[in-house]
Amino acid sequence: MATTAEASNTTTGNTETATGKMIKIQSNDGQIFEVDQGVVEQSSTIKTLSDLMDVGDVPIPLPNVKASILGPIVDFCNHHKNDQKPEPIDEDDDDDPNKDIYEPKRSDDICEWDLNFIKQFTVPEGTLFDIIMAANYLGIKTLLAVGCKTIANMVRGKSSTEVREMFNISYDPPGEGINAPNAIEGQAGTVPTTQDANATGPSPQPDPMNQ
Amino acid sequence: MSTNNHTSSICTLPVELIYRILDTLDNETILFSFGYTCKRFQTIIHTYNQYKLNFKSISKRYFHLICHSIHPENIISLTLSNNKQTPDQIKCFLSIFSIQQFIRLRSLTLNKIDEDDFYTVFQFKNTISSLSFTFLKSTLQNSQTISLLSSIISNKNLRYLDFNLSPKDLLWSNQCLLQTLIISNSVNFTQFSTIISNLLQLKKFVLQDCIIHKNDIIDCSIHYLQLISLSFNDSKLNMDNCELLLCLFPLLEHFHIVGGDYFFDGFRWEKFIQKNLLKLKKFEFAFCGNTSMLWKNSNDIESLITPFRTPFWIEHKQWIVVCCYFIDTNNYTLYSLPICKSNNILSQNPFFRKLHALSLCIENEWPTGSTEYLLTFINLSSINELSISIDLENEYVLDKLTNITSLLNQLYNLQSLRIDNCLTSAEIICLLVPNHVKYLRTVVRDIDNMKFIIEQLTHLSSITFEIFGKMKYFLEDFLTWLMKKRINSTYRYDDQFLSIWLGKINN
Repeated sequence: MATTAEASNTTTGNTETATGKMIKIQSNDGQIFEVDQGVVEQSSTIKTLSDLMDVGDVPIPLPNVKASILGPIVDFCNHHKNDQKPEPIDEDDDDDPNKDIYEPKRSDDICEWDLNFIKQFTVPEGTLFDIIMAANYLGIKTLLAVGCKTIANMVRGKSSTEVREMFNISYDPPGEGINAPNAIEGQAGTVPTTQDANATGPSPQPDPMNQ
Repeated sequence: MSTNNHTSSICTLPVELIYRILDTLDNETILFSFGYTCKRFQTIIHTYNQYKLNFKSISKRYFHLICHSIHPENIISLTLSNNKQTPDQIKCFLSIFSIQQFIRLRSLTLNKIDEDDFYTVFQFKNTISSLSFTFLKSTLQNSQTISLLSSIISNKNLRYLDFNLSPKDLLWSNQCLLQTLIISNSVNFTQFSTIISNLLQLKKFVLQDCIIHKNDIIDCSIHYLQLISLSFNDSKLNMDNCELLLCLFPLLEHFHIVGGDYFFDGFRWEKFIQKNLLKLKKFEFAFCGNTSMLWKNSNDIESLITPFRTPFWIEHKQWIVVCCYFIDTNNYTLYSLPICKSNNILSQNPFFRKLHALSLCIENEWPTGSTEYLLTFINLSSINELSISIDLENEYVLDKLTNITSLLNQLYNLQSLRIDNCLTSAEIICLLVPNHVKYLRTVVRDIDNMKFIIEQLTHLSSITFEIFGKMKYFLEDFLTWLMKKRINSTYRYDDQFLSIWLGKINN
């Protein structure tokens, strides 16, 4: 049975607020959240769905996100809805004249609010990965960047052994287990575009950063 | 995103999200840590094709490890440097790879490249969209280089160009699609107007200065509407000529100028901007001048800053301006906040909290409390380059050594250390250099001292010795010794400086 989340904005039915029409979204476990245009604008997925479907008062189903993740995402978007919009950059455009795109991207620029926000998601519970995948599914670039930068900050400067321990990665011999290339490519969202799939180089072994 | 009780892990992230994580990681972590955690990640790091390699200050060991580990077709950005820390790196790189292998390369930075190597690179590459380069020698050796450069500029892929040559004789085709042009040199007005009238897509133009002669005619009826950002990093323009130039660019949104005391009149700037630069959003400047006599009255100093504190500056534009007055020299500097990038003029005035390079000259005894004094206006943890000139043979030696060591201990991020004193013994130099320093430049007494330093300071990745007197006659023997002790080292002996990029220790 669907329940309306208490954390959502306190409006009823098909309402409109100062920030425009309210839209309902529904998590995969049936919880409904009401969000305004400021939130919708941050999610390319919700925006596309709401534009395509004349949803009226019917909640937009989000079958890949559970309520315990969608709730904080709504909070995140509510917090950021008045942020200044960054200049649009096509990340896939190799011809972008801006030299900065060829500089390593920064990961030390997460604002304090976002740092505190992301702390509620953890590796052992898997929620840090849930929020990243949900941000990706919903097309919320800012949240996706915060999640990926958080992982990068955790990994930076660590040895492979430390990374394995931190993320509980099993050290699988080549061609076996959950990390085997065949098992992985089945899960992956994209297929490598350039490399010979067999050209995997030497087997994992103690790395130079451990020495 | 889980729909059941299965706990998500990094192993369940799809490859495109792993790529996003790699986008913000350094290459060492990607290649030598992340890639070794499991078979899947090893596959991923070899299919990831957005590597940005910067070999500017790398140790030789990591340079070879990275070259060995990476596929050239996965590199989009490459920085190679023949500076003193990595002599002959570009030639070394070109001996490992053919530039044709870099099919995705879009950004290329070449510091102090030999002209011959420049030809090798650009014989094949015409897909670069961003190019920065400096040549090893200040004057061009090959008469064909200018025409090669002109052909590179006319390439339709090129959007960003940064170089330090005089643009004299370069051809600027109006087919060129450059959007950013940085020339670390001064240009005369004829060259300036040739560039600006041919580069119809140019949005950002950075140069040292535009030199205007008496006979130059600036036609203010012509407007170049493409340019939105203009920077003069070391300008000697006067206010009249500066205004004439700026009138050519009515759509300018960003103007940056570092110059002399012609520009101190805030009222005039206000009037000019309100009339001619209606789109100007960002005005960065630093104007350095001298009051010729000591101003003791604070009202006098206040008069410099008052014109920059009208409602136009503070409320309308929200441009905050600061004035520093140095009573020992009568110099003043008016600058906008945040402080714009430092240059030669500004670096003479020590008022930056986030300096990354510091030069200290201690003539006699170490001044009491000087480290504490430095801390009041410089964040020492930001310093990664230190140059220190000190006499360690006379009196106060112990006191100086104690104080230098104390200072060095506070420079946590120091990478490069220069010690200037021809009388300092190798033993003392070795005592001073902290373990986290990667590059040392120093003067030595003799070849034995050079050997001693190399043997003792094994944590260094590169070193430059200043050679003087008869030492050069023994260099060949030293280099033979070096190649036995540090395998695959490369070096450059140039103008009394022997720079060595240290190879692997031969045990």
